[in-house]
Amino acid sequence: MVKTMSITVELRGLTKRFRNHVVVDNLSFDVKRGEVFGFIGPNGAGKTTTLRMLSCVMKPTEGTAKVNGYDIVDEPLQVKSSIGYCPEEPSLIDELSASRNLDFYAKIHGIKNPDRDERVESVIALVGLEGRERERVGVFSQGMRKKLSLARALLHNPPVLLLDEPLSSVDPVTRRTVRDFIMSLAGEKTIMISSHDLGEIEKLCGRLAFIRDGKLVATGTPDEFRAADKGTRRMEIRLNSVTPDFVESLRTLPHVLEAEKEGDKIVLSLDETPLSEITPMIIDMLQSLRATILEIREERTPLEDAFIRLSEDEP
Amino acid sequence: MTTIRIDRVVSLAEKETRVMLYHKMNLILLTVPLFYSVISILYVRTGTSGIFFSFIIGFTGTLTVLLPIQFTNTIFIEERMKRTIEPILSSPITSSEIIVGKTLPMVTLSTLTGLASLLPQLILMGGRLSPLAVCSIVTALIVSSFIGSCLGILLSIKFQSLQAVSLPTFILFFFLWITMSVAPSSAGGYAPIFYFSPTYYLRQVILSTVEVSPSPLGLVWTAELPLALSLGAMIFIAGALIVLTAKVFEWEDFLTR
Repeated sequence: MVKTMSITVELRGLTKRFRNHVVVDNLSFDVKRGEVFGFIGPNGAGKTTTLRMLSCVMKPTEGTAKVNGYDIVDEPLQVKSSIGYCPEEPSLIDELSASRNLDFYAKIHGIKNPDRDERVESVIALVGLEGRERERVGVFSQGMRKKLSLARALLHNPPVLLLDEPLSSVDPVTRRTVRDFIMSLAGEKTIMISSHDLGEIEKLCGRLAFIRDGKLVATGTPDEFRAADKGTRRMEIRLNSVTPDFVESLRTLPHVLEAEKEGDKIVLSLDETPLSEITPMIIDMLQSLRATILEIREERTPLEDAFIRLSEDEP
Repeated sequence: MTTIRIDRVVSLAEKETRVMLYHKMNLILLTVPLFYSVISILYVRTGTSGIFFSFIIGFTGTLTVLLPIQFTNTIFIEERMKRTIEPILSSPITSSEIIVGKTLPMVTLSTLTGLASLLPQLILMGGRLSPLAVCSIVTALIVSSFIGSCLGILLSIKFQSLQAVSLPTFILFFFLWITMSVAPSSAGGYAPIFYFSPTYYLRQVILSTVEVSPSPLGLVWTAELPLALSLGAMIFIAGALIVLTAKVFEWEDFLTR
């Protein structure tokens, strides 16, 4: 019986040690049903190990987790039936054709014919590999292998997808195809993605968890991550004409960390004070200097900056 | 209690068979038992005896028994090297089903080719196929296959290359070949200490395929102590290895580390 609840993935003190080396250290967070959840962190942070534990490929040393209501330690077969796991390396059987690869996994999932053939055909079409299903996987490009790995994860129509770096090592066209495909599944499935590609993560994920050295550093929406990244917000002010006086005057304002002229714009670096408080001061100052304001725009801090700072901060 | 679902085991075995038969070298190696059979016929027809008999029969016979070991050994090591085990481990299949499913194709294929190698003897020499002789061969090959699986899993913890993990199989090969060929020839028969060696049973299995009857299993059945001890030793070694492997499989995630 499938258990129903609003939280689909629930980690509680999840820990993994290899001899004396702690790879994942007491991780606790939740992923809600239908959410696309990003799992980010520098190399060696423990992302892949966490996904492997959630997919029952590895056992935790301490703590536990529930996936779709099933415990990863006590109910591994139910967990495995509830998930579609896409490892970083596609790990396909090179000697067999694409359809034979999928047929094998469909059998392991207990899908019987004629449903099995239909299911294999439909997932091959879903990832755009129709016409190539009889080819041996050994001759597939990296992009095609990624797509087939994704098809394998979707084969048994699982409610939860665990995707480890699904967008790495693929060309831009495939990247867009895979990204659009993942976005089309949002809401219908709970998706947990680990990736280094923060631009893609930002486009795909509603919430993120950042881990470093196996420990959870922060969770939140991409905007919350940016907001927490203090002193890095930028504001662009386009004026009719920019004089050095304007730049110097703006530098004297509180909460303005830096002001620079860039063509017909002045670019300000601001601290974490809310914009509703800073913007009126800026407008007043420029109007007192008789400047004509054409546009004021807050530039979103790249998530990458927040990522780098979180990676560098002392634990 | 661990239960084994036959459908999942068969699915895995089917996949392993397809992969194994894809590589042409495996097909060539599977003909070794046939080669062994031809050598045996030549021996009987030409009346050659002594050291030639022991060495050649011992060589091809040992190879016949060791092939399943090397094949199943390789299956696990390659899975680890290519990391193809990861999606299997994340699928609803238990560790026991994985071990049995991966070993089963080699048991089946080597048994089929092993039995096929008896046909030339039966046809050309008018022999008689004893069911107990067949059981002797099947027993030896099943045990060899499981020993290979266990060695593959255990060795893949330390080594990540086929050459490195093949070394113990070759050492085992030479040990078996020498103890099977030289020991009885030089001393006029096995010393009682050899009764505890699987070699003794393997030799009788090989001889049983030449002489067809009496089979080693038949002699065990009629309480021949040396053969019973030797078969017991072989099954004990395989059993201990299977228990150890299952424990290691449960213990650590060495397949993905």
